[in-house]
Amino acid sequence: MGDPGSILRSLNEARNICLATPATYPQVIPGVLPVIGAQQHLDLRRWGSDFLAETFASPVVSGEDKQKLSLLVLDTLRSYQNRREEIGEDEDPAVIKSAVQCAASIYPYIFRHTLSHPDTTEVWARMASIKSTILRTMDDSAPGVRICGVKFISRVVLVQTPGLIADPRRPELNEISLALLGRDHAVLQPSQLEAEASGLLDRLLGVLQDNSSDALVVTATLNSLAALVHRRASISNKILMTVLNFNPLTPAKAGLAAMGGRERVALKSMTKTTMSFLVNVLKRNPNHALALRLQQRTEQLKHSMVEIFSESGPGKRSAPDEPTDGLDNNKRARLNNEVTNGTTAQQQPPQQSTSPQPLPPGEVSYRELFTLNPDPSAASFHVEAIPLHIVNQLVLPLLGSIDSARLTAALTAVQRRYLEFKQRPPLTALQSAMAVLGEEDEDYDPGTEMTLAGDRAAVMNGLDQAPPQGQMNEGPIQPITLEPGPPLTLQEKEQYGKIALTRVFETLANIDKDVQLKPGKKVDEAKGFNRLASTNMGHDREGWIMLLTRLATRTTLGLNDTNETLVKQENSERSLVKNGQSFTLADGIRDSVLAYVMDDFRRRIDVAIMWLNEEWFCDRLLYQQRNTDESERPTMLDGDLPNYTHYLHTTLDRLIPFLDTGKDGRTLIRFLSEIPEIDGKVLDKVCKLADDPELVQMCSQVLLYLIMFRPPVRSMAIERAVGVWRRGGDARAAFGKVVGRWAPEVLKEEEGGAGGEVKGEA
Amino acid sequence: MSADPRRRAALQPPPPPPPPAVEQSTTVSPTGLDGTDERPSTSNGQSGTPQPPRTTSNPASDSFKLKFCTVCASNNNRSMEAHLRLTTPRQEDERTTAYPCISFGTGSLVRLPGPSITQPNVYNFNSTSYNQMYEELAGKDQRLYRANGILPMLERNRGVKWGPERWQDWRIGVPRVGKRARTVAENGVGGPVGGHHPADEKATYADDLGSHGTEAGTVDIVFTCEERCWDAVVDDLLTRGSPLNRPVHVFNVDIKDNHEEALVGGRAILELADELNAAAMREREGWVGKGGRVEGFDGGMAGARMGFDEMVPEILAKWQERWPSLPALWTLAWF
Repeated sequence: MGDPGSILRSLNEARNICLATPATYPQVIPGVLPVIGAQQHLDLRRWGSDFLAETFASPVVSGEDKQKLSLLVLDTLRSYQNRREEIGEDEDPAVIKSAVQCAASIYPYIFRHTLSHPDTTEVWARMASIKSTILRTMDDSAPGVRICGVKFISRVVLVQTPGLIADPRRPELNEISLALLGRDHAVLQPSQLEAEASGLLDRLLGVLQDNSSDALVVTATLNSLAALVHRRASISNKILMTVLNFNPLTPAKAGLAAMGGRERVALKSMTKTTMSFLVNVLKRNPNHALALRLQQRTEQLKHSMVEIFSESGPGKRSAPDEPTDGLDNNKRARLNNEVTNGTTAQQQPPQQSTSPQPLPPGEVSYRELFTLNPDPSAASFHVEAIPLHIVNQLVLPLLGSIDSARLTAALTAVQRRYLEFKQRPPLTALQSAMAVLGEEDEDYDPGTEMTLAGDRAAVMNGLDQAPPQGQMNEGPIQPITLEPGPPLTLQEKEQYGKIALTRVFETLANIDKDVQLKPGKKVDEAKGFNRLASTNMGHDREGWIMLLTRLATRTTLGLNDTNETLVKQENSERSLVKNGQSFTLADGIRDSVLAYVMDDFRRRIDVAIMWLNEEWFCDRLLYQQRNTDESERPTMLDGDLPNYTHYLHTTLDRLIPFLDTGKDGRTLIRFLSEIPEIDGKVLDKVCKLADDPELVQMCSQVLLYLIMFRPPVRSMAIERAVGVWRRGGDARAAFGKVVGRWAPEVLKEEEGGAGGEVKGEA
Repeated sequence: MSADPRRRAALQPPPPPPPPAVEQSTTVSPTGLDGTDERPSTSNGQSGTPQPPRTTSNPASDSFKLKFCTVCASNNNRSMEAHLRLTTPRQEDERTTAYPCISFGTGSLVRLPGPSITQPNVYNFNSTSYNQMYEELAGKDQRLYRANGILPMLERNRGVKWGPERWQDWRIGVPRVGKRARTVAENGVGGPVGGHHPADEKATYADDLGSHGTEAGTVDIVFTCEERCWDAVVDDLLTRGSPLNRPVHVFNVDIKDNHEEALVGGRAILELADELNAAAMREREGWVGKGGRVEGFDGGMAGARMGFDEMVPEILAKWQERWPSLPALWTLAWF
């Protein structure tokens, strides 16, 4: 052998030839092998192992050539590996590193060779010996060797787990994997190989399971696992679960401050590599069974990393104040669609309309004066559609971002219009009148409403309701007055009134049906008559009942309120109504309401209460109008609340016969407690309940309630209770307590003075 | 004397390895003063007309060098600045250092600023040369593109290599020798402006700066210039399934995409590269020093025995302390 330098030169020349013409590798390799053997100089061995690694990695050398050549290099590789045993020297890590890379590259080819040549046990044995040396020594070797060992293991696992058979007829195209191996191979035992692969995989994953903080090994492992996840379905889930459970941030638990620069770099690198790994898996198969977890874990790692690194400065700068290369990601995405130089028309900034349109002739509204934007699409947008809190957020930034040049231009335009308008000859009185009349009509034309208004104009909408320009030009529209119809006869009035009534109550019935179908419907917040004022609300039971009661009670109210005599006439008219000789809408409604309540008085008692309250209030109003002077106002008499009293009694008369034992007592109590006024006749009617032995209890409860909670009628109620008690019979026992509690003197008197009488009765 | 303001700016804070070759290159003869025949820098910006001859140095006499790869979005500004830096020969310890280096872009297309932000100049990777871009933009608006630094940048780039290459299209491990593997776009424009990219002849890999040493089509270290690019590179390597079984350290050095930051970033990358290379060299030479003998093994200090790969996080951490404004990231990936 000559000088290593000169040999190296010729070796490099040989390599250059190979690189230029890959077909020469099969000739060059056998010639080179003796020069780079274990006996040679270190430089030559280094060159040799690098060259071998390069050769078997090269994508330009065919698989067939590699398989043939791999048989030749086995001994050289083994001699590098076993230098210590054979020569007594440690081999240079650089040589070992390349040798391990080379071993990883040739492993599949040796496997395939053994597959097709079951008689060559010796080849497989040599490969196995190299493998066992690598596996044995890698953990104690230099880290550079160790990571190559990691890659070697992942390659062995790849070969020794079943892969996909793409095309069984053309085995040379198939990926080299355990799937190619038949059950009855002389040398290779599938189960044994698979078991070995499983063990080796565990060894690889062990690094992650231990949450190792050695960034070099961790990232090398993660990056070499990707191919396994992608190409070996049988083990991909196991690997993914391990990676998902791997926490690269474990060393950060003590806080970033406790870490040195190296640890920080390691931490960031491991985390980012884990994220890249997960994102890569997700990207390759977005419908992966674990897709959600992959995504969650990626996000989680991202947040944790930001959290950890935000607490201290070094190694992290603040967010860039400008997007890199002047384009933000959105813009990049948009520009990605471009393949030619220059831009499309869409990307040109929109041309500003230079001159605003001149004002139309004739009368001009403020809105027209201020409308500079001719775009009709702006008209369909109503500013009030934006919620107030958003408006509040918008206004300040908008004000801040107004381009002063544009504002000035707009002001000038408006000013010019205004001056131009001022110079117009004044309109004749007729023209103005026509314009105004035209305006009035336009207000009620919903069709034109939509075409009105630019966006500025929308703001002014409340101020101004001018007709659109086109209509102005056609001349004003005359107001149309319809001729009044012939006066209705009494019969017609009655007929129409009844029809109206039925229709109104039909609606109510429908609403009731709806409520039953959809129980738990949300009750509107607006209460009372106001709900009818708004268009959307009010179409519910309560709203309708409110409407009806008001119709019933107020239709005649206030018609004649200035004249007392007329009121009296009205009252006298009402007495006629009571006799059933004529029909008025108000009483028709009243009767219908009453009938409606009685249809299901247990549930509709609230309607009755509401209605009677309205009646009472209305009667009070009428009473006050009749006696405007408060000081001279006479005390109210029975007849002063005509409608209320009448209908209260009617209601009770109709109600009482239906009362039953049980919960009806509550209904009655509620009714009597919530109506505004109770007189003696009402109490008399209640007392009549006591005649029915089944209802005695209820009667006593009602009276007791009134005594306790309705002080204005307490004395009357006590009186009635005593009265009933005195009548004796079944009532005596039931009312005993009431009387004993509220009229003890009566009880004493009775016991002392007329004890015998009581006994006699009993 | 330099027409390129960015070059001047680069000289004001001299990079850690003190004597920049830029000054010498104007006077230096094709054969170096010290007998080396390393190609002098062409970065004097004088439109690249006097093209110095490029001869390959004697490989056997070369000391060990890591092979580098720089990556940014468009393979124009940041990666090319770093490419130039890494491949510019420097006198140091009586030997010249110029690293083997190649460079790529991860974007879908080459984008250069246009007259407005919405009108970039867009070119295809792998088929458009820097020279073509230069000619086209110089024809479009010489004043604008000179003022915004695009023309000087392209001028620099065409002195470094033929044209922008896309990372995702890179066939790792395919030898980079002879004619460039590309489809040259039908280029009616441009005569032999740079003198070394005649339009009628295909360019060769050997014309690129840093081509010597990267003939095998693999590298040891990848530098990306933006986290997005790092993500793209790592993701691409994962997707490729690492058929070569060859480890590669992938670094990210976050550099803003403007001319000034590119200069700073290029310097920082060179510094990192120097340290990595020194560590790798120490590992090799340390072993040689001990001669691989058994007693040498026993006498070695633990620190001295630390391998290069192992030291990478340490080196990066120390470097990061000196360059806190360029957040770095690293992983060990596989080709």
